[in-house]
Amino acid sequence: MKKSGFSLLEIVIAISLAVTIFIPAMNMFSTAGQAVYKTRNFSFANSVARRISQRLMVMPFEDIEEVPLPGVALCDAPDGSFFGPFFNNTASSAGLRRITQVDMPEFYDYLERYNFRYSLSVSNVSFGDGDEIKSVGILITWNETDKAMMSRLYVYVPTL
Amino acid sequence: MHETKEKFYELTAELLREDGVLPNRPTWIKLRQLVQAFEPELLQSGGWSDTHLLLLALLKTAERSPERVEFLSKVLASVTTKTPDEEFILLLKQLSTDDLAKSLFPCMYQADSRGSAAVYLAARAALHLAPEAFQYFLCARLWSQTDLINLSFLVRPNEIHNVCAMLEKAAETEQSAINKEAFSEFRYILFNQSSQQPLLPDIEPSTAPFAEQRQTSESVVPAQLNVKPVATLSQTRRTVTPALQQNAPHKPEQPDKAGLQFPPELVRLVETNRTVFLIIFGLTTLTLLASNFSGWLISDSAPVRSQAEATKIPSHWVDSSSRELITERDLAADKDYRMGELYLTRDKYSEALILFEDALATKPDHIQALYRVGYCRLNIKDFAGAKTSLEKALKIDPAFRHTNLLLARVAIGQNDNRLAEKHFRLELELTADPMIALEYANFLQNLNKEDEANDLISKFQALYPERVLVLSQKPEIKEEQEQQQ
Repeated sequence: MKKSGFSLLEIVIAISLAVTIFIPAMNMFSTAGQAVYKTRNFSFANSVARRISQRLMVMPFEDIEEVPLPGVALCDAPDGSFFGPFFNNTASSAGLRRITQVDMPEFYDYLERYNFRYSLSVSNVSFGDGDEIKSVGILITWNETDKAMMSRLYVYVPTL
Repeated sequence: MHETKEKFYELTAELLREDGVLPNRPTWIKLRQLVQAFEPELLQSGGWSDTHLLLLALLKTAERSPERVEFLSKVLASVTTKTPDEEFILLLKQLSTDDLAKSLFPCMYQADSRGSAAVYLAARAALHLAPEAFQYFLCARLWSQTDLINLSFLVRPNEIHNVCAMLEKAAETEQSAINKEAFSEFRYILFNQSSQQPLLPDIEPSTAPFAEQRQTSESVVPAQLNVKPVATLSQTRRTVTPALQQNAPHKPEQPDKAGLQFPPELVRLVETNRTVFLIIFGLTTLTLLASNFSGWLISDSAPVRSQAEATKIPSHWVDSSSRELITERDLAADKDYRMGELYLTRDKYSEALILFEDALATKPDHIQALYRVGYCRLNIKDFAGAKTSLEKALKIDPAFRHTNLLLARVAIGQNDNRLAEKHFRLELELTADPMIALEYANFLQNLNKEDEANDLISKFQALYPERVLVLSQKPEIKEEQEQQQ
């Protein structure tokens, strides 16, 4: 009597077909997905550098100092650094928000996971009579899979 | 009363020892007379065995009468709850086929051991069903192996092939996998009937039915069968089922022995749409696998590092824009280079030169520093030094912007006009900059190549109509004008 069901050959062919379709599809997802992560990190690093550069323009000239590598972590940044506190939407200290596990848990986890840090490479030239210029290299570093990434932004800050 | 009962027992034993059809046996008349004479007393006294009750039913009621069917049904309902004795079966065989069919077949629908006992009794009584009836009996409830074997005795030997063919045909259109399985198994049993006699099923003393098996209630099926003969079971069975479902309140309170049971509608829905459900299940599984797998693939699994690892300076970084490798040496060279740029903002070429050369000492192939060294040396009239530095920059990147322009100026400073022309042309090939074109045209004009200069100006004027490109006056004309003044 003829039995219904699948033969071994049919199963092998079906699995081969599924794998043939599945793996390239997954690679496509993988490539696209990783590109999304990289772009997000790149954009974030640029926005961090821009935020630092804007702060440099308004902060006292003598306060612009070298921050050597490996730099300062953005999460748990100490008070007085560029990211401690992160923002304050109120007029009082009650509205201060720091990048800590308590205040901003998701943002904190993201920064800690990728180890986002900033460094400043400062060169100071004095031309006499109070005419000074600082060249500041803003270096944002982070870890992406097995790579150490860096985004650089250079700004010139003259004495005001 | 006691004597009458004793007399009844005695005559019954004698009747069962006799041969032939019951009504033709000598003792039958005596028994009948006894029952008719003492019927109320006999019936009021209890303690009758199943065999005696059956005999009373036969003696008291007329053949094929509804009263007999009703009486027999009650007796059989009681008998099917226990193991029937051989005496009872012998007497049962004496019943007419019609009486047996009407009283016994409804019991066969019972989904519990009562149904099994009824099939066994039917098999022992050598009852036979019409071939088309088997399909509906098999669909009526779940059948154990013993039941199916006993049911096979209800097929007339000469109708086995007919029944098999009908079941095979029915299986093709049957949606329920359970029914298909029952058809298949029954056919197999019919073809390979190994048992010579019916098998006694496991009979439970209690009357608890297997709850919720897709089967019959006690009240409706006998009623249906009372009206229609066995041969018409096929037409009635389908219409009976909804009625049975309406009578469902008679469900036993006893715990379900079969464990978790699903509503029959749900089971039927799943069975009839099995392919669709399989496809949905497969697709869902694949989707879940794919989403999990892709999630794992696309997740940027940057490991959470310890504090020591997090603060460790790597040997190099990857530039997020250019994807070039950056080392600490590059960063140090960049710092000197940027500082040199600061001096250039105040045209302090000598100080800037020192810093650019410092950058080159750290990183000899720093192309911007090489270019700036050439620029500074050109401005401090060190044409040879400028040329060397700029040519090094060109070796690293032949398309580095303005390097050829500076080399052209160096050549002019060294009075090498042909070389200057060559570098001007190379620069213009790289960048169609109107200001460089104007500088080159002025150079050509100074070499008395006014036509070439005008052609060049015309060409770039056409390219940049919004710009006004005018050749500067020749030095001689300037001098004449100054003398006249």
